[in-house]
Amino acid sequence: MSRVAVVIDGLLVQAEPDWTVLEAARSAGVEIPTLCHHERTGTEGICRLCMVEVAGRMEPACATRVRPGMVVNTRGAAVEQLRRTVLELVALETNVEYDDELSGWMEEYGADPTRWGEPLAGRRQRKPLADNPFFVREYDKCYNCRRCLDACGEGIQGVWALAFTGRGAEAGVTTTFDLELAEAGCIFCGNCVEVCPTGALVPLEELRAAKGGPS
Amino acid sequence: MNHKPLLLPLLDEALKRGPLEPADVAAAARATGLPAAAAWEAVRFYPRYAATGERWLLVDEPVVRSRNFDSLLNALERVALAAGVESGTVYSYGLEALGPALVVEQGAERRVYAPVDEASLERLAAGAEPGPAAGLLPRELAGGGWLLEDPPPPPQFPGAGELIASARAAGLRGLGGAHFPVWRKLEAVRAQDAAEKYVVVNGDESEPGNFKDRWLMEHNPRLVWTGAALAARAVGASEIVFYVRGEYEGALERVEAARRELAASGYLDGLETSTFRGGGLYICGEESALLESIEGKRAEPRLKPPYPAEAGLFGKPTLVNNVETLAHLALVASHGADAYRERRPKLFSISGDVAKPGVYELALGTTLEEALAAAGAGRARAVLLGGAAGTFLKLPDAAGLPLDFEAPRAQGDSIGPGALMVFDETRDLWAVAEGVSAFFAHESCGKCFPCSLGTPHLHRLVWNWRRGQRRPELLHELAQALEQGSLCGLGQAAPWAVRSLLERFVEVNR
Repeated sequence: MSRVAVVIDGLLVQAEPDWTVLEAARSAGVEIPTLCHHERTGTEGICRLCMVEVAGRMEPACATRVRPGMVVNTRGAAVEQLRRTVLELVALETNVEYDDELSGWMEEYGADPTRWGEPLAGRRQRKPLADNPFFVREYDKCYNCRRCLDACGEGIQGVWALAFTGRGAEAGVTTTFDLELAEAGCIFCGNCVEVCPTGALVPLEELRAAKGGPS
Repeated sequence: MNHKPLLLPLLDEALKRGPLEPADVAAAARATGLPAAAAWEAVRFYPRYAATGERWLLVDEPVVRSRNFDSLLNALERVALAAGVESGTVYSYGLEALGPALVVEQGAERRVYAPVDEASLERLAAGAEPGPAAGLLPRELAGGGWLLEDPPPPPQFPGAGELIASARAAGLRGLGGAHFPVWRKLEAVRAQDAAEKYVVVNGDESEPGNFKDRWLMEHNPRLVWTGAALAARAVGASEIVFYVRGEYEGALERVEAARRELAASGYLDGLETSTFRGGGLYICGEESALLESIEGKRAEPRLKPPYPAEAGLFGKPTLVNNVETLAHLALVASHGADAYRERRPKLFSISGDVAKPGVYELALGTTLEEALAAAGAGRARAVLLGGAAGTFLKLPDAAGLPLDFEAPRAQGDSIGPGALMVFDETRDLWAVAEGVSAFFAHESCGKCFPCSLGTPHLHRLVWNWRRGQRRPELLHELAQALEQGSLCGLGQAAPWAVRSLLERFVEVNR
């Protein structure tokens, strides 16, 4: 298949026809921030942090295929303001202290969550769930990127032990029938832990190591 | 039927036997072929599967918000507390034309009353009927017009080419709010090379201020089925699913009865048809979320492309059209494109400060002033045009605005599905905006970050604004993020009403 010529931030990029804008940008060394997208899980289009300007419209870079002649601007004023607002709301509502990548973008985009007042979503009040010998689920740190759900379900493992519950700002991750993980069919493959970007799924070994030995 | 049984009807069956148990959900999941996790997600998403016990609910919609919402809610909370019953609110039931409405919920069953006042609540507390039952809209709520009269005999299918050409010549557009040319959708689905195709009727009218689809489903459902059958034959679909808003129980019965009658007459021969009880949330009206909910999943909007015309229900090419749109298609087939173009009929749901609230068939291009006069508006100061996902127009500035597809859009407004909520100079428009922003926060599905996180903050900013604590810079930034960042129309439209209030009603913003 012949390549597709697109322009990203003024750079001419020869993209493979099945690439997304995000892939094309990365191939040219242009970084676009994203919280939800993951190549292995197939998660896309949720966080909206990767929105870029295409012919005056905003499109999610991770979920938009390249089109011939596309002109993409990844750093316009509107894009940057959108990213700042999303980062601020995520950081206000979620405990993001273990998410180094997000913290870096917060600084880059000048995000200040305190402008929005007190949190509203109730996420930060969630208690850790320790229902298995391998990892703890600390959903105060979870911003619903859904990588774990996709890893557990159709993205990788096909196990479907994890489920999404609730609506709007109250939505979050649970297990099938809210059971303990093992009861819900979890095979402890570890894929969810591996793809979690926030530190919400913490391997117990690491916790023990951090505390200086077995506890 | 080319697909397995559907999840929501199975869960509804189980619900008749009592609150859902995991075993019910697991059995329903097995029958549908869905993972148990997906069925559990659906149970935790759609409100009716969580309903237990008795609840007294005040219907929250823009017209009552402009009037006595706060005092009614206080009174309801007082009598409910004394009676030991849970109380709360529930969003618009399409009863804005009747007045404040009350829902008495007992488990999965609901009785609806309108209009109600504080005396109604005392009656409710005393164990009496609180007010007139409002399970159906009164037929008299609509005046005359092609869509509002008894329908003509169902026309013979004229052939795909001719029907699509007529829809094009008639200038027929989608009347659920987006106004997409109908012939293009028909053509797109027809052009798909697939053995299975679907037609889905979108009767999930949940946009506060709109009730014309409800009226059509309750009082003229045969016309809608006729249009759906014509459309199915035109695109080569073999199955029609009529998706009726979950709360519209009267409409569900009428739609199903009309289906049976029309099927008995032979008009639906060769077509699989069914009536589907919707999930009971605003997001279910978004066409791809609607398809997800038929498939038994959380009603979350899909990323587009692909569009439903290419990959819709169960991944098959699907024509999704609004109730009113399909009724129009039937009329185009009956009367011909020329006669249709001469009339340019459109239904409007008019409520608020007018003498005769109701459903009006007006010609597209009728001015706002003429529409208000038809419904008997006195001294209107503002009109919320389109619905909760609409904008405030200021009077008399907007009096001459033609209500068509183009003129409102040229100034950043839209007739949307056709709601006009009218407010006189005594009404608090910020109270309306507060209600609208609460609605969007409640109805956000939780998929994309800007909408799920942003709509509660929009509500808080508006709430604070109304009480004197104003942050215009944050409000504008959030409006931008919602409009440009949200995945679907729900989040994108959430800030429109508030922003139009800021821009057009400078005097009430001081």
